[in-house]
Amino acid sequence: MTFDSNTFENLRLELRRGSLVLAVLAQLRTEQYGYTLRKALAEHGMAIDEGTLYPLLRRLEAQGLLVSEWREEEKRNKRFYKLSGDGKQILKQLLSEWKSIDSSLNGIMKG
Amino acid sequence: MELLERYLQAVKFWLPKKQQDDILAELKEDIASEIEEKETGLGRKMTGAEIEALLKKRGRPMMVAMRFRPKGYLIGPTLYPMYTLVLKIAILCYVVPWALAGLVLLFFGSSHPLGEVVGGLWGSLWGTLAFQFSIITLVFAALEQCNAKGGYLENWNPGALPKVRPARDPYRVARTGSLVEIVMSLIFLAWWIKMPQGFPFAWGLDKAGIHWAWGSVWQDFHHHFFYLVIVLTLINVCVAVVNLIRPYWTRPTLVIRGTINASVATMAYFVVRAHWPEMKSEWILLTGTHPAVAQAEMLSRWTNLSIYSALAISTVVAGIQALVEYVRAILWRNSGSKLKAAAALVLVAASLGASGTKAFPTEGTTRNTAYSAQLAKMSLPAFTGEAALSVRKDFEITFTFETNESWRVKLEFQPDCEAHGFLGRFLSGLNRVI
Repeated sequence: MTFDSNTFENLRLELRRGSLVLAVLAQLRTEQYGYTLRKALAEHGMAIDEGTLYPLLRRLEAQGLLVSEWREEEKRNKRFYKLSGDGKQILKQLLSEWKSIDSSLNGIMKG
Repeated sequence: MELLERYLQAVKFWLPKKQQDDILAELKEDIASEIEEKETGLGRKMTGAEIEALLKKRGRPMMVAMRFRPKGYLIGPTLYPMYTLVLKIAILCYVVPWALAGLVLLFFGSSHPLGEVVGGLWGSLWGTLAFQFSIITLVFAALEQCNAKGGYLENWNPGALPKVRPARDPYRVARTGSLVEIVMSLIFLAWWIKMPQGFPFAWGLDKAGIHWAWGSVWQDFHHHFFYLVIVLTLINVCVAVVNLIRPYWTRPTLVIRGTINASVATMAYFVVRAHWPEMKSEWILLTGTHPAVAQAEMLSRWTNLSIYSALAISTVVAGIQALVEYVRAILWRNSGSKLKAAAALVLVAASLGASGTKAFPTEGTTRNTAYSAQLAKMSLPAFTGEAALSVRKDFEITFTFETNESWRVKLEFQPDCEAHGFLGRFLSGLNRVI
């Protein structure tokens, strides 16, 4: 990998890191378990590896933005996640912030 | 599935105890879901190799587990720059004495009395480095903890910031430094010329019942290099005067200063090396009347050792200074090529090393036995003769003394330029100067 593509890759990951939280919160407006959540995000172009997703889910749960429960489905125990009340509020605020950033960037780009 | 269980067991080892079961259950379910989906796609059970490839893609168990652990720093990114700066300073404080000790050992060998002292220091330097590293790391780890709890780094006063420093020209010479150099050089010169009459701190020794006299090595050193030292000191004073008038290093002044330092290094090296058996005992002789005898002996021993060590260290320091000054002259105001400077350094170092090992092999150094006898006669007022020190058959240094009325010293080095490289050429040049 050349120096330029390395630099781009690092910056891309940095940019994506913040957006992932938003994507996970948005996706969990409907209840899902880890594996299906991962697949749903990937289908929307926000692929995330399990090593990043599960620690993130735990952190968001510890912050009170998600709630989870273990339930049996198709003869296997699975942990289902969904947005909490606080999570919904935070998601709303974050989306508003996201739109504001997008609008600012567009303004900057138009000069 | 045995491989999956082995993988989960390995992950479990690194997980925080309280969350182990919960995390493992979720991880196991995730892997099982992925396997199930792949098997549905393939229409068959996955092979052992395929499962192995799947686990390998997920990552090493320890790395997987680490992502579930809270992020912690021994020294965080805020303090890290300060930590590395302090470490660099500590390492520099270690590297300089380490390099000096290494050079002394290289020149004198570990069997030499100075080598023995430095050899002990050499060993302790490693322990010092490890100790410094541990203490600095512990202190910064403690500071990190305090900052994480109290955030003391956020409390600061912009008014306490240091004043803006004016851009400093690295080739500027402080006028006060030049002035001090002139005064000190002249005081040294006066002392050097009048040295046989003694030196200030010795005057008080008589009151303590201790009598002093110059040892043969001091006398020898003074006689041999009397004029050379005067010439070098006067040139040094001239350079300092030029620097006082125009306080910037120029290429010529740098080259002259480098040559003075190279001459001092070579002179000190020859004296230290040529007289090494007597070095520790014959620089200065202190004798005491009863009851100051023991005190005089101890003082004599320590004074001689100090002079000896100072001269040995001067050899190395002056040599390094000479190299630095030559390099600065080559790179003067970035006009020279760094490659040329590096090449010059390598050549000088290689020539010195080759000359040193050729001229002064560790074994086989020969001394003209007549030399010591000649030296003993030196104090005679009408002595006219020749003293020769043969360091090696093909590398002879001849000192000629004519001491009827005034001292006249002739130094003649007869190095084989081909055989002794840079040192040979340098000594030939020195002959011309003398």
